[in-house]
Amino acid sequence: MDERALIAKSKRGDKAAFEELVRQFSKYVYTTAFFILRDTHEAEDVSQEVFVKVYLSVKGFRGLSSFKTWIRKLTVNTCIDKLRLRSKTKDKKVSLEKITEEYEVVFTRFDQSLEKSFFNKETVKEVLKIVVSLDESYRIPLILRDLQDYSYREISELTGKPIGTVKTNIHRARKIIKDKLKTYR
Amino acid sequence: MNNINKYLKIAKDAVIQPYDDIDKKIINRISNINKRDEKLLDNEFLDYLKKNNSRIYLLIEKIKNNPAFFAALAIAGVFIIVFMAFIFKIFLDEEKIGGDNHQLPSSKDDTQ
Repeated sequence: MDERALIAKSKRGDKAAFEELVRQFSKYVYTTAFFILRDTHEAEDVSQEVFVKVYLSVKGFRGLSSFKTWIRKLTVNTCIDKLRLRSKTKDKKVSLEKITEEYEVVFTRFDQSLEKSFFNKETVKEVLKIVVSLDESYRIPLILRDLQDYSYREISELTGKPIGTVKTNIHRARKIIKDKLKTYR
Repeated sequence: MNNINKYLKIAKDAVIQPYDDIDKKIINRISNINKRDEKLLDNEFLDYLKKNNSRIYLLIEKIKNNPAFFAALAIAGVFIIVFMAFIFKIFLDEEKIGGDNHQLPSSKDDTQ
C-alpha cells in the first residue's frame, strides 16, 4: 500500500496502517538519529519519541509536504534538542567514546551500478564511518546538507551559526573525509 | 571532491541496521501511550505542525532556501512581460499603419 493511503487510513484511526508506516520509516528515522547522536540507545529513544509524536498528531497532518520530509524534520529537530540537552548535562568526552560502537550499514535501494561495484559500497561504508567519527561542529552541518538535503540557511538557523561558518565547516568536513579515505587505501 | 560527493549521494540510501527489533519497540510504545507521552506535543511541536500545514509558510521557506532561483524566475517573468508588451505595441502600430494605408485610397476615391 502506498504512503498516502496509509496516512489516510492512519488519520481515520487504523492502527495497522500506522504500524505499516512505522515499518516503512523506522530505519530511516533511526539512521538519521544515530548519525547525529552517535548513540544507539539515544537513537532508539528518538525513534520512539518521533513516532509517538506522529501517532498523536497524524490527524492534523495536511500532507502539503511529503510524509518523509515531515518525519525527517521532526527527527532532526528532536535530535538537535537532545544534543543541546546533552551539551548542558554531559561531558563531551563521554559521548565521543561511543563512536567505537559497531553498526551494520545496509543499502535500501537496489542500484545496479552500485551493486556492480563492491568497491563503491565498501567505500560508502568507510565514508559513513568517517562521518560518524567527525567532530560535532563538522558532522551535523555535513549530515544535514549532504544526507538530509537541508539548505545552508536552515542549517544556520538550526545550529545557531552564521551561514559562512556552516559553509566553511561543510567544506572542511568533506576535505577531512577525502584525506582520511586516502589513508585508508 | 567530486568522488566524495558521489559517495555521500549514495550514502543517502544507506540505513543502519538496528540490533533490536526497533519496529516492535515503536509499535509497543504507541500501543501503550500514556498521559506523559501527550506532553511530547509541546508548543514547539504544535508550532512546527502548524507551520507545516501552511502553504504560505512552505512557499516562503522555498523562496528563502532558493533565493537565486526565485530571483531569476522573477527577472525572467519581468522580461517576458516586457517582451510581450513590446510585441503587442508593434502589433498595434502595424495595425494603425495598416488602417491609415487602407484609408488613403478611399480618400483618393472620394476626390475622383
